Amino acid sequence: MMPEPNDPTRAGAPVPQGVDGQVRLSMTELETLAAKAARGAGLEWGLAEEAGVAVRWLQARGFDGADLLIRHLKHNTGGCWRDMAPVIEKRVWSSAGSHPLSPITAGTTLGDYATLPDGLEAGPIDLLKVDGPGLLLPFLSGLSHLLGKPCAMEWAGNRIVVFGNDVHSRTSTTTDILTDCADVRIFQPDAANTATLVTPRVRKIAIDTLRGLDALAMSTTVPASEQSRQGAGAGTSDND
Amino acid sequence: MTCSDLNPAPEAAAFRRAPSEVMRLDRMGSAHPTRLSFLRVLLRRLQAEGWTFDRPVWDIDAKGIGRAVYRAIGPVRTYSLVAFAHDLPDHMRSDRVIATAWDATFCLYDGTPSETDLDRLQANVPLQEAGRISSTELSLSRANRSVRLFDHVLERLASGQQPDVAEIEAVGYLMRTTAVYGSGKFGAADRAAIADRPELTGPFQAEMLSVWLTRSFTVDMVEHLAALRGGDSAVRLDESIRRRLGVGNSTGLGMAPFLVRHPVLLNNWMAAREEALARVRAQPSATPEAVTILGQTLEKAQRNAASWHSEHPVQVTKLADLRRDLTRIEEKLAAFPGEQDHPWDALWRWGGETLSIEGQEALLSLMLEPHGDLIDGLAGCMNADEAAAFRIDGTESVGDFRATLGRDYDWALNTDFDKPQQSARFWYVSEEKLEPRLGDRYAEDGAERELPLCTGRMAAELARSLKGWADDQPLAQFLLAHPEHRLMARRVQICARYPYSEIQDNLIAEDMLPIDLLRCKLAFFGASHFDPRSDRWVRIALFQGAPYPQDLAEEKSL
Repeated sequence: MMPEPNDPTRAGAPVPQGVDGQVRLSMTELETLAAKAARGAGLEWGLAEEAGVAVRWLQARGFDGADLLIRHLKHNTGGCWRDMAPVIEKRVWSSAGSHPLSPITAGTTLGDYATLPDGLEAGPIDLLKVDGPGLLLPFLSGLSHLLGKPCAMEWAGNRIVVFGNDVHSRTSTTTDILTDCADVRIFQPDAANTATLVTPRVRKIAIDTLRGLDALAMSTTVPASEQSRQGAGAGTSDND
Repeated sequence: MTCSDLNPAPEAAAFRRAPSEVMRLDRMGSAHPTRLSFLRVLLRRLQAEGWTFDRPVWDIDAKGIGRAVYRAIGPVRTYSLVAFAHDLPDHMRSDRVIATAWDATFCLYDGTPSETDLDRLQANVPLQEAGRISSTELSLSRANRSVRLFDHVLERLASGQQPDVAEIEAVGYLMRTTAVYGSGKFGAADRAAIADRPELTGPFQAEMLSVWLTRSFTVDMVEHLAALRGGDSAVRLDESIRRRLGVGNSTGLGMAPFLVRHPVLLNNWMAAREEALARVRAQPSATPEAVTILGQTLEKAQRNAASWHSEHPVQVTKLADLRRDLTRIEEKLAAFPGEQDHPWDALWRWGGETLSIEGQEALLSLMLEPHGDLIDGLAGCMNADEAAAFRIDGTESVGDFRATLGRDYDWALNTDFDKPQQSARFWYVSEEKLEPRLGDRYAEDGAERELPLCTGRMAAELARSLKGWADDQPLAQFLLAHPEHRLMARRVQICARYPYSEIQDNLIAEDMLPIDLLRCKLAFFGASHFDPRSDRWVRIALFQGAPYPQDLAEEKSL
């Protein structure tokens, strides 16, 4: 069921559409919605939380994280998330099966492994076939905070450097290059960095993106039954 | 706690209660408001900083329809409660969060709203969840009249009489809020955007300010309507009666998951309160002033207990315990502090041996009251940087992690979740209303969509999956193989650093009472007269007995 526009207590966010076909969600709403959508698409709760945080980070910095996420989730609603987790062999991480790597799982694992022998601190890592490299950016930010150094990713001739919460890029970061499926190298660049700083600005999201996330988020809910209705509310008159 | 390095009372550590004692549902469900409750913290700050208040807009017609603005003007910033009054037919009055119309609707505006702002808000705030607010709004709320009391007060004032005090005591408020939304809800300002303002750094300060100003609105409304009805013969509320009125609040399951979902915040609330108790117990003696205040506070608590009514069997028992225990405390205080060393600790230990849990937690609140200088600063430690605690440390060894899990979650690892009574419930979000509900796992569909609030069972499953993993393997490797345990692994690492972060009870047990969760949270708000209407639905009052904006500057103890 899609939530009605006026549905009270919504956990998702059916909001009035602006004239430009865009909507503005608060960062809190967006994070919650993204996490629920990720869960609705079959990611485990702990990874869905990571997705929520990642989308919030992107959206607050001018990237359409919500769009990146919905594209990624729509590719993989069949529930093959386990096959999209990285198998770590030396410095090369690839998926277990024929599927591409999920940037959510790969990014999360990069963070978990950061200072371990297989992690970024020990050297560059090649991620093979990442389904939407843009979603790796927030995890690079996490790595950068942890290691206290800039972290970079390079793919198909593109390079983005993240230092703390700042994003530097030589080329424009279009949706296409962020969502393509590509081999990505993660590394710690030399301190010198001449690339332009991407100016943070909160991105609105398209109504279709919102609907897509809402639809997935709704699949985490349970249809009503007589018994469930009885449990809600005081069961007495409020006219007192 | 983030402030531990600055703790001016390190000797208190020896007097701190263990999380295994504090973080139990029966004790959390007996919590009483204290001077660290958020509404007290708010009022103390407003007074100390010399905030002023006015009502620049009062545009309410003879039917009680219109809008009003109440401003709180601080040294740096101004906040405005924007109130819309409606004419609600009785048959539409519902406290459920799913209601679609109310007697009054509100938002807290960041600054002083212009006419244009008010028009924009008028098109949205009365719709509540169906409308949309923006980053200049900090909260969104609504309230319904207590029909009985509102009508009684209105009739009396209109005819030149004061209302019956017994009627006032029986209800305690003219209106009750049925939801107060903050923190980014429905487009409102994100907490992160305002959390660095000193006046809003503490938890729920914007929401508390909104409710406090709402209280003024409820009194203004009834006096306004009485004046219109009674003309020259109408009178205003007596100061002493006005004081007795708070703002009611009606709330249900929706609030319950909050404490589970915000473990670091829960820790910081609990740890601050426990540190406060420990500091008081660590005092080598009791000053005569403190003993006097303790006695006065007890009297107030007894009056409060006398006017606290509930028909819910659980609460009826607790109220009987409370009244009996307050009498015991009164008897005990006749010889307090006596000659003994560390008299506060002796009093506390006596309470532990003599009183019910309800009475012990009431004693905690009483003991904190005379010690503002010693403990009020702890209010500054009750917010949380949740983002900073989000990261999992994947380098932790499985051996260390397993040991932590065994130490902090023994309460869960010793529970047999295969027994139906231990896994009888499941938490879920209803598709129909998108509100959290609690289902019966063995009688209702939907358990496969269970919310991850069953912390105990998740801990037990995590422990089971860890079997066979060598101690020297990193947690990162385990989580890559078992992503289903990631959420719980995060909680375990949080609990290791924040010992009061986890409720140490089975939240899906057959006999679990959601109202215990509600009471704990509401006590931290500062709620009084906790009155369950079912095992998952309660009414409370806020700000009863507190000063109004016009009285704040002169108030002696806050």
